[in-house]
Amino acid sequence: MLHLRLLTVLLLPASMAMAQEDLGAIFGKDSVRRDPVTATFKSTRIINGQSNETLAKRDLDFRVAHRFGDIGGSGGGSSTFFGLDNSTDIRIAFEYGITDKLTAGVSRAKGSGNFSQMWEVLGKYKLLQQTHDNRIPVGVTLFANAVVSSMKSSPDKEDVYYFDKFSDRAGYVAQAVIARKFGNAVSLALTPSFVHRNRVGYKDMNNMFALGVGGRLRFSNRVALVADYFYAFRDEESKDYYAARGTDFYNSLGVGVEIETGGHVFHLNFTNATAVLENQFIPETTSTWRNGQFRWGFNISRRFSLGGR
Amino acid sequence: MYDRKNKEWRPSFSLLSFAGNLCKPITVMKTMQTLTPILRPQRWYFPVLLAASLLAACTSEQAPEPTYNTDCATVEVKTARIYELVQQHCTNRSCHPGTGSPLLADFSTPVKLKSYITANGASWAFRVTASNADMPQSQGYPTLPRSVRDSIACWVSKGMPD
Repeated sequence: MLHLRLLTVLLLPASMAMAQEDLGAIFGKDSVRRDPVTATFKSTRIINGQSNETLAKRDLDFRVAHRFGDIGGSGGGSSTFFGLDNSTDIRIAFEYGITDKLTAGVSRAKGSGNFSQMWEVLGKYKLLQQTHDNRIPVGVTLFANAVVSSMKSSPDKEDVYYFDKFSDRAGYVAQAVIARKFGNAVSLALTPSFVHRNRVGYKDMNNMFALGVGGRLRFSNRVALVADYFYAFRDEESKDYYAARGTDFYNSLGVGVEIETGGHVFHLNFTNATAVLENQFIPETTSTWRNGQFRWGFNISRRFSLGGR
Repeated sequence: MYDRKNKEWRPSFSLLSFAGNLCKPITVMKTMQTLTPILRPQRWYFPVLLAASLLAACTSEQAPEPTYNTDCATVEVKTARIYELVQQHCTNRSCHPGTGSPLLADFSTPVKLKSYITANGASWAFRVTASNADMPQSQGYPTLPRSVRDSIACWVSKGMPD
């Protein structure tokens, strides 16, 4: 009797595999390969920018992002322990999956740029999902946020952070993340972006378009290389005005390693952007890799399933 | 229009009768039937109201052109005045006095302030006097007006005169 049970246990996986092959033959290959492509990216952010991923329904994502000070250059080096003594920005966020396609969230960031003490409300909607049969070749996710600064107003009207009315404190971002997963190892994302800031400095731009590119190269089931870059379309007049006053604007570039450890996704990264929020790092990055003005940073994501699954 | 003699509604193309037709009981009823399921409190109310209120708060303001004097040749700033500003904005809440955190930038005396700026000139400029400077940080300190930042920058550029 014991031998019979043992034989059943040993043969059961093989018989199940055969049954699956039979199902594949019955329904044809297309029915299986028309499934949506999942896990294009492991997290809802690549490094600085958004990925096309949204949270599963009733999942709560607690996120912490931190950017340290300059590793090199005059603000870095051994005196600041290569930037670890300083923090340029810190963001703490709670994001929640209302449905599998719709994510909403709130966050608080220290802020780095014209404004500090940033409060963010965000929404993200998965419009299209890539399919294995390429009937839908790319995934498209829409992202939007509204950010308000609670910092004290400057008494000087000429300052950017002079707030005559509440709306002067606000800014918005709208993005479409167009992503595709190539096989199991490579994922790419293209992110046309629009940034609106209600109040900006003299000769700065209230409305700015930007184009982001991001990617993920998977080394193993748990480790991947991630990178993203945002090109901001700032007009020449604005660039020249600020350059004449000693401020140059740069595009943000981040590279990092993504490590997944069961429930956590950990990004250890380097970036020249001092800010975490799109509203700031796209239009207001003034540090450059060439002068050693890049920094360590990390994004930690911890997901809690509240749906009782 | 409503034909009183025959007691019925008849098609009419005048503006007044068009308006009258809109108010016909049957039209009102049909409209209500169409709108009721849409107007019923639903999940999309909150995001739509939120989006509408956010869009209503969407403005485009630009700070006026700076008129402050950036010509350091005409600015007379001495260490005593700058140190007064530093005490007011940087060292009055256990930051930067050398006893609290961070010890890295000790501004407890004018000499220590000067030695810090001498050793960390670029960092000082980036964090204190640049247009997007992040000091003083958010611990209840007032932000530095542009004119004050420029005065500090002039004092540094002139060799921090006493």
